Amino acid sequence: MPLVISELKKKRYMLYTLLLWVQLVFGMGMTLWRHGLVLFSDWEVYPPYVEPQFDEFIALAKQTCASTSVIIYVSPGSSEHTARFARLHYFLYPFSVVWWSPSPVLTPLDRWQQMDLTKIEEQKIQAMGSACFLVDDLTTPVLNQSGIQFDLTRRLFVIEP
Amino acid sequence: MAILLVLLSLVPILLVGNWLLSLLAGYESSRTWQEDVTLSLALGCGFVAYILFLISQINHQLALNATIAITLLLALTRLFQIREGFRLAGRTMVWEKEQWHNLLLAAPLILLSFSVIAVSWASDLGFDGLVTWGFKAKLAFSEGGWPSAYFVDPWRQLSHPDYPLLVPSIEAWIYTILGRVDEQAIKILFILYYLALLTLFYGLLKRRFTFHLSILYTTLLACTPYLASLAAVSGYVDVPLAFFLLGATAYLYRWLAQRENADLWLAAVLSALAIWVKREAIIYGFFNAAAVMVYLLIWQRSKLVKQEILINLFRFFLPGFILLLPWFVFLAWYQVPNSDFESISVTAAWRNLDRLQIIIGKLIDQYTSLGRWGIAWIIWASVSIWRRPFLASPAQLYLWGSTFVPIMGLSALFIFSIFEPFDLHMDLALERLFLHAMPLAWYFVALQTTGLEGWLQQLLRQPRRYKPIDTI
Repeated sequence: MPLVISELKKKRYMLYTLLLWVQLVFGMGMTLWRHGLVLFSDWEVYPPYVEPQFDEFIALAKQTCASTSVIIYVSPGSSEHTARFARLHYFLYPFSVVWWSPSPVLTPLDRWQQMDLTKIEEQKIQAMGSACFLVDDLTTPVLNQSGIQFDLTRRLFVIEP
Repeated sequence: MAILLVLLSLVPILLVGNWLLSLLAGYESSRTWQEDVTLSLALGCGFVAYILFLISQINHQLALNATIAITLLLALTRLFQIREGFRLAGRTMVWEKEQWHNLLLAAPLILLSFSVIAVSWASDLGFDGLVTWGFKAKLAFSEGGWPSAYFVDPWRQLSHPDYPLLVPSIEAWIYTILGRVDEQAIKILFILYYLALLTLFYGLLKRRFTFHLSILYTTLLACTPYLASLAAVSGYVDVPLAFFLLGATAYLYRWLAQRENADLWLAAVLSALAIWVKREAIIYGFFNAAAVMVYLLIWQRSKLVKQEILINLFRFFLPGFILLLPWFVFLAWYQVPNSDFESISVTAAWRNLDRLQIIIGKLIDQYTSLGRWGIAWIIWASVSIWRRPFLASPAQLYLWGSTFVPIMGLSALFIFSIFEPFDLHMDLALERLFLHAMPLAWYFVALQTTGLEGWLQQLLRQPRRYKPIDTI
């Protein structure tokens, strides 16, 4: 039995089919364009925000620090640095990583401590045991004034801003 | 080699899942083989995560190995049970001329799938893919299971110990089979979840439509810009969650429409397992529970005997009770803090009431975001308006509600966000909330337009015989 469809329904189906085609062409185009950017233009979907020195530091810390060490990441508190701290936290497992930052971070993280870098006490660092430092995007003069007395038994790795 | 090992490592999970499927839902001839395979994957993953968690409470160092041993044993048993072959293997596959035509229609979907695989392979895992879910998997692999100390360790709060464990458990399973943590090889798991989502979607539609319309809607879902270009390659658990939610919603919809017991069992188990994937599923769980209760206690109260109502309530709530109680008791026992939201209270709601305006603005922004969704939500809204007289039936109303109510509920929760500023939290999470509902929205849209298929066929094959009348 032939299907009988009303004129109104026919118009609706036509409009609906048109919308589906628009979505199909647009969705496919948008998706393949983005995929093309990743595959042929080095666009990163989830940029890790790290420089090559960052991975060097991870390798250095793994080689030189005892697994019970606390690793201290010193940097500003932007979302970019949150991502870097998180990356350290992942790749340096089972080390404990703490983040010292002179400015507040966007989301309260338990291993973040807001620090006045000019008033860091040597005793506090010593209490944490053998520490390994990554100083990121902070100017050297600030650190020089900070009062941190780095000795040769600790590792200091500085990424210049 | 690593790819092959990852794929092989999932075979026992599929077999155990298939055994669970036969226990829960038996053999149902109307279920497509695509549904069987993807449901086996979902149930198998849930089984591994659940057993791993339970054994970890006894001895976490042995938990992964014990889970592998139990799963392999059950998988072997299942293999003997079905040694005559899966249902698919028993079928005669004849390549007919028409199938070339079908292959041509499926070509965009196949091309897209390969493109997603290539991009996934070339991309880094996203922030949460590494820091939250990846870290948990790495820890479980290194420790042999889930040590209780991890969940209360203040040094590890960054990885959100309160987040559920299903996907990291499967990652840890794969790392154990591989013998190492491999951030590249693990991407296969997330690609598989993307393909499983599409396969389940296709299988569900195939019950109602021909190949042509099923593949068209599946391609539409597959090329949703945010899903294909950002979510599927991230290593986040949002695509797996969308997969579990699609199953839970589709089977509950079917139960409301047809009242087959197997559908209710499946909906109940998948609703609970979705909460094992991500906490956002709790609100879907509440919504599903509310739908079942309203249907049984109000809608059907006069038509069903009391015993039948109670049995159906038991069917829906028992799996959730068994699967979720240990996890929530554990979280409460160890007082694992919520890492994103403060406690819900009237005081907090009143204090942050001004956030509502921003929340509404961001919701509108999502619904109209071409870059993320194309015009998918506009199509959904149009169909909702067009079909509003037909939304009075419980099944249709439920399906529509599942595409809308949980998004609204979850968005309202941002009133209690502890992020500062809170809209950053929304920016990070809102598009993913929409992603979870996207397959449900396409499923809803597809089922509202069942007449489309007949019209299209008529248009393509017999355009001159078309006879419009105004009475329908």
